[in-house]
Amino acid sequence: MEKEERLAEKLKKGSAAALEKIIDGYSGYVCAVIRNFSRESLSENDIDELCSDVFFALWQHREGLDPKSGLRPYLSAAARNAVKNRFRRSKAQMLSDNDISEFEIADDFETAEQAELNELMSFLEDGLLELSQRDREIFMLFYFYGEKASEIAVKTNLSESSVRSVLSRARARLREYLTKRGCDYV
Amino acid sequence: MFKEFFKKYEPKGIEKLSKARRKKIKTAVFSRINETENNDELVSARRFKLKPAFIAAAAAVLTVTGVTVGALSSAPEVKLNGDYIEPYYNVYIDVDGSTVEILTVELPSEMLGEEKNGMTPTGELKLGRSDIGDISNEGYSGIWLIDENGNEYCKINNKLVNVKVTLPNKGNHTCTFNPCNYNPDNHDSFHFSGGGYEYLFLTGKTEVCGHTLKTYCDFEYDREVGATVEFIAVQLPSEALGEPVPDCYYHWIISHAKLKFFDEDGKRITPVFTNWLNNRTFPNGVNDLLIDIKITYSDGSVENMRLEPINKLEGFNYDEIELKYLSAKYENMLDTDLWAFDENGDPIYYADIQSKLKDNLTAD
Repeated sequence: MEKEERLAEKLKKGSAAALEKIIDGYSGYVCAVIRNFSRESLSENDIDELCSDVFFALWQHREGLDPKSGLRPYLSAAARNAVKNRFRRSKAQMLSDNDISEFEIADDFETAEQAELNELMSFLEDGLLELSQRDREIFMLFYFYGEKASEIAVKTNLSESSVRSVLSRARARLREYLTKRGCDYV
Repeated sequence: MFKEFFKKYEPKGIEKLSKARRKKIKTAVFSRINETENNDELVSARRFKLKPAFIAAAAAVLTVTGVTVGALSSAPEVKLNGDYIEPYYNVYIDVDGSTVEILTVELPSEMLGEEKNGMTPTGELKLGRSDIGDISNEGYSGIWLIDENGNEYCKINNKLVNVKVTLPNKGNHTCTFNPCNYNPDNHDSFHFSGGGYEYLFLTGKTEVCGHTLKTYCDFEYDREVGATVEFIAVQLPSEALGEPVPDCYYHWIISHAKLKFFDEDGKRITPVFTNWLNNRTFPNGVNDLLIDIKITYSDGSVENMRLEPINKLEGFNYDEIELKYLSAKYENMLDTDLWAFDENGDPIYYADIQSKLKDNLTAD
């Protein structure tokens, strides 16, 4: 598959072919993120529907993409928000992990706010640099890939409570960092 | 920093989706895009990508008698580093010399590794299109392969041609691809193969129902199925020409690996290829055709339905399908699988049609 940056560049220029390639190459990725964030509570059809939402949003907001950042940060964040909004809309049970709702990357996936996601992502990336590499990775595994604290604990050889502490600290620091920069997403 | 993370980690449970699932997602995405954007270019790109040129291009009696894949194997080759390449199309068709649509596609950079015709292109190749004005003036379009600097790499003047571009992704296969040396004056077809699939492109012109058409057909079939391209003859739907020609219809008989066409007298006139039947685009509104289909099952029962020009009929069997082209509508449905319409003309997505057919029919 073509390099992610290259595809992002083409997409940004409005290439429908690039979008197709991206769907071919990243639909599995997006579906995995959706499945993880939904805690496997969605049917395959629902996952596919949300997946199409994500790619549709990607197309709509392509002009704001930063090709150098690749597609995955955007896709994973968008997938996550798509899940959140699905639960919100259906008034179904929100993710059992409350931590997820404590830190919102963007509020409404289907509104113009999505366009601001890119800006936030940029802020967020800078803010995450304030964290240690370990804390950063824990944070991202949790918030970008929807992994459970228990799963991250296994992956990082930490206790689950330690992972939650890291997440809590990370949120606090990021909240402070973003607030100072006038970002009110949190 | 994001980059490092995303390079290092993948989400749990990631897996490549099936082709059908990806297609479903793509269809949903592009349908929404088409609903929200009036973007002809995008629509075209989508159509091209998903369905090469069959029924649409299928206007008219394009006869390529005796053509077989084997006979075409003398086509010059361009090896793409020995990699199997996955098709990525464009097409075109010209009706009465008035309209040419050409999709801009990109060639994989891997094609650039070899010197061709004394030129060693660098960077990305793009299949460009001539200026719209030129197209309308000339009646035909030239197609150019140009490198990223705009230097011409290959030019095919005043001819319809298909370029199938591929992406190297698996296996050690050789693909042949030769738009450069293709001369429609001397050949009715060219082909290349790779990765278990054969691609055959046919061009020509013919007169049907009193209209001369430039035609173009693109067939893709599964080599493993063992299909053989025999010859082609299709008929122009009357509406494509703007006037009623009630008798312009044809019959299809499809087995899981073969598609046969017959004319009104029962004479076999078509290609035998596979479980792939793709259709493409007519310019000037011909895109919008609906098709009435009468399906005759093996038990003698008959079912009528109305379809968009079919997309892909794959992997199932029919006893007989009778098609008749109807009016223009629902243009945006071309990219879906199979669409049916109720008696009021409202679209119904016939998601179950394939399994239904499969359950009710016997193999040819």
